[in-house]
Amino acid sequence: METTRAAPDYKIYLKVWLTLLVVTLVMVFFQNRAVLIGGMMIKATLIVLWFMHLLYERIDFILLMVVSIAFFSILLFGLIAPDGLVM
Amino acid sequence: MEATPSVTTGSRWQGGVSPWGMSWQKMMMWWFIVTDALLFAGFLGSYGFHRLGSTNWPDTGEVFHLSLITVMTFVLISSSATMAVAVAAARAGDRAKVKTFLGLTIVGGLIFLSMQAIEWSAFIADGGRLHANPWGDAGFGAYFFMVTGFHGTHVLLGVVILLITLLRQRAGKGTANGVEVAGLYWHFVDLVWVFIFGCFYLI
Repeated sequence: METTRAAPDYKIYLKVWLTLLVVTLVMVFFQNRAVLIGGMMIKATLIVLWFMHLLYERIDFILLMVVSIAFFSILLFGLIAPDGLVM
Repeated sequence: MEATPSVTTGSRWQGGVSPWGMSWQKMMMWWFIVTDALLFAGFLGSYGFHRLGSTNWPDTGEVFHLSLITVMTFVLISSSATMAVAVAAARAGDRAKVKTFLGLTIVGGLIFLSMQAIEWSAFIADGGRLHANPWGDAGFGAYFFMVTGFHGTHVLLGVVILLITLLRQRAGKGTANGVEVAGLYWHFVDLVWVFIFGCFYLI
């Protein structure tokens, strides 16, 4: 995959932006746990892949970042938070 | 423009000056983002721990003005979108567009910070403190100030970084790479807010 792309495609940012706004509204409207977690995952994926251009990096770098950020964040959160239930 | 990648062979970094075919500034910003993401994951993890073990966590719908927070979220998402356009324009060498959209991004950041100041003022006026609050669990105020405060500080620093980037662009010194690295940080601030908004305000 190339790291530099000369011709910018501004339309994709418009689409991502509108999708993010719609997902936010859906989250605020429903506010149940499944919708919220799903909404957060969709928004995070859109931001990281398109706004942060991770999609256009090399595949090994994509995997490295996804594992480093997503996996360890979820692990850290998952190791700490659920213990509150057994307090 | 971006530093020319010097490594083209294979899928792994095999020496040379440019791992993964990107500038070292961009790579280091990504590493910073990894560590910063874990900072916020730790924050939200400890918040989740406290909240799940709490029997009198306040009804956040009563405490927060959700319409204000939703508008704040819209503003931050929109500023992230304008930043993405600025980065794309920088890569294409369209300096005029870069300056316009960097300016819009900065305005978005300032609006977000102003609204957060209003939110904090209302929270404090209603009796919310670090150590106590009128709505329930004493830890609620501490988590509110710590989590939104750390995020707000990130936004403030982001605005400063963007201002410097804009001034460098105006002086004709800024590079596309510089805009892109500043953009990565700004998008990350937006990314963190996605989780704060979902985990702290809505759930």
